[in-house]
Amino acid sequence: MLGLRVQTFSLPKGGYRPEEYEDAWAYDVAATRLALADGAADSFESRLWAQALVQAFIHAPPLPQREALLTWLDTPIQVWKQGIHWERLPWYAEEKARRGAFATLLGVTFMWPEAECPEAVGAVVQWQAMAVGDACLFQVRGADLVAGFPVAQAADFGTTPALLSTRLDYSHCSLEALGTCAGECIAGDLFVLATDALAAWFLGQVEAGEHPWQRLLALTDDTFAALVATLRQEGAMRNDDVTLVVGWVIEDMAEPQSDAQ
Amino acid sequence: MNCASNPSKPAAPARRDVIVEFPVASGRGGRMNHVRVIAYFDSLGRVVSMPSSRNHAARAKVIIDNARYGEHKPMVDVDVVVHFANNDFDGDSFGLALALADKRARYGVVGPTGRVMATGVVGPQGEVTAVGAFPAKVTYLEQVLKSGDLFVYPTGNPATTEMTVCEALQRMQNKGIVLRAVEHIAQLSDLWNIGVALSSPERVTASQAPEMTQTQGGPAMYTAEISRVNPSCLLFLIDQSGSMSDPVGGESGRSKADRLADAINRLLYELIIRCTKSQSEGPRHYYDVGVIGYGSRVGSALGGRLAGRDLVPIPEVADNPARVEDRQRKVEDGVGGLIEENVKFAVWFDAVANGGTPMGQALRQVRTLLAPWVQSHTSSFPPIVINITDGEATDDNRDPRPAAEAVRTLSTMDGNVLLFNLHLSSHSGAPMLYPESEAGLPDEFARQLFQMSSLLPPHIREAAHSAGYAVGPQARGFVFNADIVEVIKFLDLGTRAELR
Repeated sequence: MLGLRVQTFSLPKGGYRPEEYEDAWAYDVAATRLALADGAADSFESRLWAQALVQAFIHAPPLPQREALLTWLDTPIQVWKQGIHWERLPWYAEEKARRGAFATLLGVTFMWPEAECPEAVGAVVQWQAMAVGDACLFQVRGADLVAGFPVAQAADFGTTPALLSTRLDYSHCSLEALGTCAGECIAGDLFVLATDALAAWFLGQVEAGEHPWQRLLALTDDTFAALVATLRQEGAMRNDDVTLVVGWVIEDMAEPQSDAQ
Repeated sequence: MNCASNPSKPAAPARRDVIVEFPVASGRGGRMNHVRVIAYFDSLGRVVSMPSSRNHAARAKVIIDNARYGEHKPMVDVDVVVHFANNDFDGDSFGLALALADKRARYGVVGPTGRVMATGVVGPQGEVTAVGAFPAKVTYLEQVLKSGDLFVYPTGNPATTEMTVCEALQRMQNKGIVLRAVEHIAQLSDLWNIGVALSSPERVTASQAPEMTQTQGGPAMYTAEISRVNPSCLLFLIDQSGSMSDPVGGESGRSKADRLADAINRLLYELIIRCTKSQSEGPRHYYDVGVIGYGSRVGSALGGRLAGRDLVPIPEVADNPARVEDRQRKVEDGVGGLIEENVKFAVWFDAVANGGTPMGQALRQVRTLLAPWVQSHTSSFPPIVINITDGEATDDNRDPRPAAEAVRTLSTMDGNVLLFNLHLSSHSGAPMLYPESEAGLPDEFARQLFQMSSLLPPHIREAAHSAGYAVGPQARGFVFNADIVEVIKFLDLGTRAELR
């Protein structure tokens, strides 16, 4: 039976402390759902907001439609609001909090076959993704990049991606930027999910005819940190929080797994 | 500086002498005189011909090597021929004249084509430091130089000498002599033609070069990230003269001083909010901030517990407003309507309007504050100084330009201090935003402020462009007669930076 083996890596921006990392990622036990979010630097408690978004996606993803997404935001907004000690905030933090938190969101859902459907073994499996902003998904099969979503080329990464906000009036405007994508996967496919800095490097490499995913295989926390340090030093990657989720589609998925940060 | 042959050198173009002069105290009585450095690029690639005095030749070689620090390798290898019109001088103060002659000979002359007089010691990385006998040199040059001539000297000199020198410089400036105080040879890079390869000196044309050009071979300027490790500095210079009690041009009601106080308080408030990220920490120390008022007195205009403080880290600013007022504002309710909500409005300084306009003194105070700051923050985005005034300086013979120049010559490795000027004129002239030239400015004072203003660095130009302003490549950080909305936008644009 097909399944996904997942590995995750994350690092704060160079020179920053681990608790200042403002991305978030999560996936569920059966690796049916994966989510990645990137909290905006200029917002209040954006780490908390990014975490609320990925958790809400894993728990119950929204229908990939604008109005449905707006309704769905209610839960993570409540989580974010409850996470703030409003009564203890100094005036400037209160004002900043009033202005809200902002984050990009990427969510993927895999339609793995049910265990009790043996005829599904070896079958092609559907996946679908939704995104607001520039956290990216890449699907690699053999030596080819077969899907890249939602950013098509490295030059398209800007400094002002669409963002979901704790403020509904703002999120309402971002819904225009809601992107969806769907595809199929087979055993041996590789999924790479990355926040913008790494995704921009990845796409740039692809555009230069390279196979950047080869540098993302068999990583450990240490080799990931070394890779990130090298890319930052070479100026090949912007100094930003960086998050990488690597998923291999494999046969005979053994033990369930799940994790989140 | 060797003389390896360069195959790309063209067939001999006409020899083009570059002349820079320097003042000297020569002869037994130390009588003042000046010496010409004559330099030219010899396209035949002959050995550098140095002055007849061996002593001078050896020193000249060191000075030229120093001045070429940071240049691209091919240009470092280019030879020039140098002569001194006489050898009756001693010491190191001719360094800047020689360095300037060398640069202009190799790169081509742009900018002023008139007489250039320079004095300064050139250090190993092209830095320019103070010379001896500066008062005597200035006294002499005041007699020798004429309107349109250029005099370049070390920033370190006037600051360390007596008032009479400053007054002499002031008189020279009033006469129309252009004064430039520098701390590094690269600050004069508008005097030679960085963009043109030496192999085609024919194409070198005299053109108006931007005042702020990149140091050749160095990294891009004004790109340093503002962070807690490398904070930046914002300094507001507020005219508090009596005339600021007039209403803003074309508006009735509250005075310029009141509106301005609101705008600055709001800006400080926004800065603090920009630096606030989470509930577990205060605002991050991304900036040191100061507000200097000038009117009946010159000094910190901050009130409350920060009274008398000059440069204050933004977290301290946040925790010490003079008072916090409750105000109301209208906000969108998310479903298409507007609701009123209470907001806190912090106040750090209040409007004052009396006395003259000692802008020169205020600018000197800025220099005093920023000189040590840039030395201890060499990797930081350079300080931004925003001067807001309604008119003419009443000190410095009504010409604050030399004092402004002394502020702008300060620099970090990321660029020179940026000085922006906002002119709330009592003149009824049409508003002008970020102009590229002084054409159309109604009076001497507006033109002075324009000339005192730095070119907008690329990131601010982009921000201004995104905000819908037509800003050209030579646009200056200068706004004339804007309404208060434009003032607020100007403050926002001028302090815009990528925070991390």
